[in-house]
Amino acid sequence: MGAYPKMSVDGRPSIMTTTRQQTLATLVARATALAPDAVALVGLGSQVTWQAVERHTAALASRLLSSGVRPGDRVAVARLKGHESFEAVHAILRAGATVVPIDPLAPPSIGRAVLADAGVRAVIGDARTVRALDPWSAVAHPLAAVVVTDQLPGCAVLDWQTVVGDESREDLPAVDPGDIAYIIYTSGSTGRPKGIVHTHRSAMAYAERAVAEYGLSTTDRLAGMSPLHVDMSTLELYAAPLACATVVIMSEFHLQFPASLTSRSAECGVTVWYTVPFVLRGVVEHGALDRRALPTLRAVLYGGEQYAGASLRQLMRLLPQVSVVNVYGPAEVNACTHHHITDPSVVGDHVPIGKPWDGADVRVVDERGEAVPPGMSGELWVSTPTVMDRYWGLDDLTRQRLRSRADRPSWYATGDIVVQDVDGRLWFEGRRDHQVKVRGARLELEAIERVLTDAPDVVHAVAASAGSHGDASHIVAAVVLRDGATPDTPKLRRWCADRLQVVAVPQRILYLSTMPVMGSGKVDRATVRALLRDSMVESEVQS
Amino acid sequence: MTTSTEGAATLQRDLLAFVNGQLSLDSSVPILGDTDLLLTGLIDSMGAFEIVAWIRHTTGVDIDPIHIVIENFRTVERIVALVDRLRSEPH
Repeated sequence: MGAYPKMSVDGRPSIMTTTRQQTLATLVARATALAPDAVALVGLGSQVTWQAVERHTAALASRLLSSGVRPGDRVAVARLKGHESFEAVHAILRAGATVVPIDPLAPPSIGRAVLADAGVRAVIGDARTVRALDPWSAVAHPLAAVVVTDQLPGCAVLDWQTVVGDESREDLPAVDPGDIAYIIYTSGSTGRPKGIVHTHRSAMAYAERAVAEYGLSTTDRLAGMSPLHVDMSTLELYAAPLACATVVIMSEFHLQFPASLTSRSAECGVTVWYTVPFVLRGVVEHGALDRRALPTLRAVLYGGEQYAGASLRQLMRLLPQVSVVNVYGPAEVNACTHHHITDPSVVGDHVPIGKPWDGADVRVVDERGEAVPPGMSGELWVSTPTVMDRYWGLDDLTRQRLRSRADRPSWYATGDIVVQDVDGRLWFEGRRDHQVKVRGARLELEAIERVLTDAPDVVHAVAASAGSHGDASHIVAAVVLRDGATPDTPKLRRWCADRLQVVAVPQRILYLSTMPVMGSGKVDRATVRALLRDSMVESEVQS
Repeated sequence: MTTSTEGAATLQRDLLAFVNGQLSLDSSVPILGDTDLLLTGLIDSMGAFEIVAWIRHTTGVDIDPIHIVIENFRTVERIVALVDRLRSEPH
């Protein structure tokens, strides 16, 4: 692990020495002071300098405050990616409010549940997403403001262009490192959305560590690849401005079209990618890298799930100049362990999640919370300044996951089962619960099973992740229908598509006459999941 | 021999049938030639490559990855135009 990079700009003091008491709310202003005319964001159509980002975010923060948003209020960002989504996040932070990103491509019912759970006071979004969410009816209280970045006739909304061009300014509040910066939601196993609460302190700790770990600097052009509602977006949102690096915004669709991603990366001189293995596998198979060099790309960071060694080796042969980092860390801690890879020949079928980065401490523990020796499986606990503050409104769950011990004030119990080898490297083995990662999305199988069981005619349901080459690429399900009901897979998938993210909708459904049960009478999930794997493999071979 | 226009019309009809019948998650919202396939979320992120495989199977046209980009796959009409262009290119 290297020292902090020297990033003195124009003889000013090094950025890292000035951030001790800083918050996310000061990031844009500081980057503007250091590099006013540098390109902050390469949007999808236009470029924006730090000076312009500063002006836009100050104007938008002022308008939020003058509309009645108070420090501590939650404000949703409900928009496809663009320079506006980045600016919306920083305007909310500068107003002392809390950012709540909404997935603009998920069914509106999911976004509305998040708006209600967070009790948002304002929304910044695009017309399409805002119309679908209907935020006015999603929360119990009146909204202070809804700002849209395009036209939404017939609704009481503020126009983005008018707002960010406004010269009037409010006094922006002082923000404390202990204030809540953002809440990132995951699906949760109970059907209720689960909000992960980060303070300015925990988010800044992440941004500082990330800048140091990856050597981000003013010369970097970081691809902004993560959807905002996914925790990986914290690198582009907070670490990039801390380093005064440029963010090259990628749309949600660049992740689905590998050749679009490689083409834009080449055109814009991107130096760093941070994404999920699903996207990298797409790049290897469909990115046209045999005919398109990416000479500026120096680092590929990946995380969110395991990446099969064979595809990783191919990627490294296609991009020989690139160093690769396997980044591990649930959204609750942003990131905590790393495995740096420079030589594809040492990549085996499995890749370790590596060792903790500076400031993070890990324990591998048994059921009683006692450390297990190297080579033994156990649950990974992490103690780090980047850890979340709590789950929003879920005190019992917070107490279950944030454990106090005498030696450290809090350990986050990840629920991930790992093994530590004799060299201190950690290897991911699986989960304690029914959470899976599919195409980088964190899904709760119990939540999918609940939606299936709520469908007409369905009595029992068991869901599982499936895929080839050891990578989970989709969800499959086994269901038992009530007597006399006829299987209708398209109808059942539609039912799911109205209630779940697309990636969580079962691609294939197996119909069983009864569900195997264990002695206790509970559904024997392990047996059903094995059955699912076997039957799906067969049906794939046959088709 | 069919003309390019006739071939394109047939392909568009068949592709729409495939997309609506096999790929779409919501048959209550029919996908038309100019429906934005990406924004509607009716097709998931694997959908583009299923369409590519279907085109290879149906027409024998193997779409080079370099052409599998956002601009060419936003709508069924654009996909058909791409295939038409690739078919008429000399090999």
